[in-house]
Formats: sequence, C-alpha cells, structure tokens
Amino acid sequence: MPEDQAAWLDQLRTGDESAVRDMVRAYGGALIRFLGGMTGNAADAEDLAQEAFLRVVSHISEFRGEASLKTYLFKIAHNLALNHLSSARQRYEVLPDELPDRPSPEPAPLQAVSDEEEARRLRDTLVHLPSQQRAVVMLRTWEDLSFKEIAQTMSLAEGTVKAHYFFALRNLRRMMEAPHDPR
Amino acid sequence: MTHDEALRHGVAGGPLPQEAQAHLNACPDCAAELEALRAIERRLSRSAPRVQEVDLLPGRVLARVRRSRPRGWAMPSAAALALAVGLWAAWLSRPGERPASTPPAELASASAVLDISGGTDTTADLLGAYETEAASLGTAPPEALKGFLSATEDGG
Ligand SMILES: [Zn+2]
Repeated sequence: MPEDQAAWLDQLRTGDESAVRDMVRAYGGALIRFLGGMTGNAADAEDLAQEAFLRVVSHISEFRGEASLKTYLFKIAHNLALNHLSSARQRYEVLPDELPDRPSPEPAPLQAVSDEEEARRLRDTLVHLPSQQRAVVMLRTWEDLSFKEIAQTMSLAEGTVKAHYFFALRNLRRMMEAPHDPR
Repeated sequence: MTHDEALRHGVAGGPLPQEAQAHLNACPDCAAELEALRAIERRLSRSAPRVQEVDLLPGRVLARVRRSRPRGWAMPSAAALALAVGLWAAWLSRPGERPASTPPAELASASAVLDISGGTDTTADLLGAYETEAASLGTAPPEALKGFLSATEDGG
C-alpha cells in the first residue's frame, strides 16, 4: 500500500481508477488467500474478494479511517466469508458419519517430509479448526495482522482474539501430533 | 494464574505480565507447552499458500465498480480497461470447481459489513463457548474445504 493512506483514500473517493487498481494489486492476493482458507474454494474466494473491493469502493465515503484500509478490507472480507459459510453450511453440511470411507494416508517418515509437504499437512489440519480459530490463525501468521487489527477485523475484543489464537495453536499441535489422520 | 492463562499470555507476544512469567518459570509443563506452541506458530508462518501471477482481478473489480456507479461518473476509456486486465498476482491454480448448485452468497447488510466498532464479548464467555467447540473438533469439514487447502500449492 502507498505510504500515504490519506492521499490514497482521497484518490479513491474521487473515483480514481488507478487508485482502485493499486488497491486491488496491493491486497488482492492476500484477500483471496484468506478467503480461500475460509471458504475452501478458490472460485468463491475470488468472487468474494471482488465483492469486498466493490464494497470498499462504493462505501469509501463512510470509511472513517479508525482502522487501516487493509484492516477494513479484511473486515469486509471476513463478514462476506461468514455469510457465505452460513448459507453454504445449510446446504452442504456433512456429518462425519456420512463421509465416504477413505483410506488413511500412509504415515510419512518424519525426516523425509519436505517443507512443502509439511506446509500442506499443516493447511490440511487448519481446516479442522472452528472458523474463528482458523480466521485468527490465518490473519496472524499468514497476513501478519496485529491482535488489535484482528480484533477490529473480526469485531471481537482483543483478549478474545488472543484466546482464540491460543486454543487454535493448541488444537493444531494436538492434531499434528495425532498418529493418524486428524479427522 | 492458571496454566492456560499463562500460556495465553505466552503466545500473545509482547512483554509477559510478571505473574505469567512467574508461572512459566515455576511450571515446567507450561514452559514445555509454550515452546511447542511457538514451534507450531513458526511452522504456520511458513505455510501460507503462495500467490501467483495470473490474473484479471483488477480488471474485474474495475468493471464491477463501473457498473455499480451512479450516473455522472466518468466512463472508462478502452485503454484504461485494457491496462486493468494486466499482469497481476492472484490465487494459485484454481483447484476444484465450484459445486454446480452453489448459490450466490447472501450478502450481509451494508451496515453490518461496515460496522467497525469493537466487540463486547468477554473472554469468560469465550472460554465457555470452547467447551462446545472442543466437542465439535472431531467434525470433519466439508470435502470441498479439505480439497481446497490440499490443492493450493499444486500450481505454485
Ligand atoms: Zn503451568
């Protein structure tokens, strides 16, 4: 993001298209990554990211600057994701007993696991967290938001965010250390 | 201070309250767990899916911005549109297709989306809620979600 947020916001308020383009370039990837983790679907993630940008542009006059534009964008994206999840859940929720049987993956020898495999395994485990814990973890460790910014993003008290973070790390550790598929 | 409180301070970063530090000094179990949690944290930081050059997102956003504008806004030039469809980083390969029956997401009301005020929930409420959440942890997420995160690095 440009150093001078105020100047950038002024440009956005006047409908300057290059400012819109800069905003999308600056935050689009991060937003899609976050939304992908929340919704589990790349196409949905991009649709929701578009929607988030559109809302920022159309409501820019109401943006009062208490939070950074980045936090504001993540807040809108998070709300869109929650909405999407709650409407999707009504249609797609699958109870554990109804899942098809799948062979358990062979446990890989620990030393042979590459960084990329390890990252994949961690992301696979991440999806088992409750959505709030998942959101906090992604915003903190992937997007490098402060706890204060995450609290603004998720409309939670900062202490609550820290508690979610702690439980998320503890749950992830337990699931990663479980001898079999975390499911 | 309880074990969990001390650990919560421990993973939150920043200077530790004296009480939390005292607990961690005196409680080897918590000291060991804190180390393990910090290790998970470092691994998480390295697990972010990479974003890749692809896409048309700036152009798509601009096209929607233009469509949504009230009359009186300047119309874009063809050149501006062409520029917008430029190089850019977006999501990786687009793993998995959207289920055919996926409906458009219902949109939150603008006032809810734009409400930037802080939350009022308390940590005590939250901890209560976790007993419920813990019970649900064994619940597998929808297949689409699992597939998504597995596939994210295939393209990059
Ligand atoms: Zn302890």
